[in-house]
Amino acid sequence: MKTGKDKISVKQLFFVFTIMISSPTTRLLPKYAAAKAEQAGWVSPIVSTVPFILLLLVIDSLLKKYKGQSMSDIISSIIGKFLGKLVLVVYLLWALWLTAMYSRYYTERLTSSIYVNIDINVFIILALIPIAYILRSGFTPIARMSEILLPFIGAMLIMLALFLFPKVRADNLLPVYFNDIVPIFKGSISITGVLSYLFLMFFLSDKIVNLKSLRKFGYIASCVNISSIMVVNFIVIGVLGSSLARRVYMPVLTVVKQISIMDIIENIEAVVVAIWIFADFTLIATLLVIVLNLIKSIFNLSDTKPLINILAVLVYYLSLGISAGRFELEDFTNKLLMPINLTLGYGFPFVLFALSTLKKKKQPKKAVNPSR
Amino acid sequence: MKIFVLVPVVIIVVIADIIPIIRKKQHKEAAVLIMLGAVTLAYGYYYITHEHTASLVNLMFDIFGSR
Repeated sequence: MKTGKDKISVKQLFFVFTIMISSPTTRLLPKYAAAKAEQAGWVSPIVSTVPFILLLLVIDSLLKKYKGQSMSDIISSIIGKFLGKLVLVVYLLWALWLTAMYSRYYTERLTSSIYVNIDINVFIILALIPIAYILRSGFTPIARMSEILLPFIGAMLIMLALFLFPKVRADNLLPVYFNDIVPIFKGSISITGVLSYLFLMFFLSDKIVNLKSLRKFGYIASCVNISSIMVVNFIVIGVLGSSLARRVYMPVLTVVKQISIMDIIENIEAVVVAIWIFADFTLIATLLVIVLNLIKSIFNLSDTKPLINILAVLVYYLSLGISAGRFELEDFTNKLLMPINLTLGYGFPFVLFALSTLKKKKQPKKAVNPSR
Repeated sequence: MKIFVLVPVVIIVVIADIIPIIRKKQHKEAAVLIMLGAVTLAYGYYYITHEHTASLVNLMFDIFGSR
């Protein structure tokens, strides 16, 4: 679909979303699922389908009811201007936190996998300078880059699945009993939390065209994302076993290092790391665009381009100061970030939807009185 | 010593971005830019002075009372 200047289609939005969540999918989700649900961890993504589709329906109904408005405007229309701004500030802090956190995770991942002796400052600066440069051209280049990048990520996943399938051991994945239902639900919390970033994406709804096809592409995206997370969990737990998968820092990389096809195809982790870098680049850039859009809505600005550079400097210092090391960061992600993600990514949108429905019911009564 | 890097970087970035927006008479944007510059300076100073003792994650753990 053709889009105007600084406008993206719904399809492109879901492309960006899929790449965005591919970064935490490969770093965090298999570990968390293995820790909570052990051998049944690969089933846990299925549970996340329900809240994700409900979130999609809630967003769709809100955008249909308040046609042509951005999510920030919708929030202000439903809960009032003052409370709306307060909520937007909370979302701004959340988005800024995620930007700093994923910038740090990106550098930690590189320094722990390939570039062990390199200072993390180098990677943060090398990521933030091109992001700040690209964002001056708007969000469209990121969306178009995602369209090109997504097939590579998909190909990587299929390749990994094919190469690693012979190494998968059935006793690592089975048995899955009725007793595993509660652990499976616990294991799905991280996946549900990561999928909640969809709501953040709709703070860019003023940049999106063709919102009519939101449901259609949303269903496709939910199928693609849930099945890809399931494949990653299946491979990691199947190859390493749940006890090892939950202890290794980067289980996906550990699994990829085991690939050897007739001693010819080996050491393909460099390709995986290269794709991770692009995925993290998209994730950080998209979160920065969301932060800029939220600042624009809160202060009623006409242009946010002059804020990009100073925001990049702020994110640099935030990502350095966010934690002393990766263990602290992982501890935070597992204990505090998940509830925050669930509250802001699912809880508030559902409350918003309930309030908008109540408002809808009250409106006819008001409309009847003046005519009398 | 790191403070001597932080201050010039923030000042240069703010001045480089504020000149064009003042010419366009976008005063609200200029105000937000200065505010973000001040926040960056304040947080940068906090980070530099507490580099080995405090982190944002620790602050969050204290705020939410969980560890």
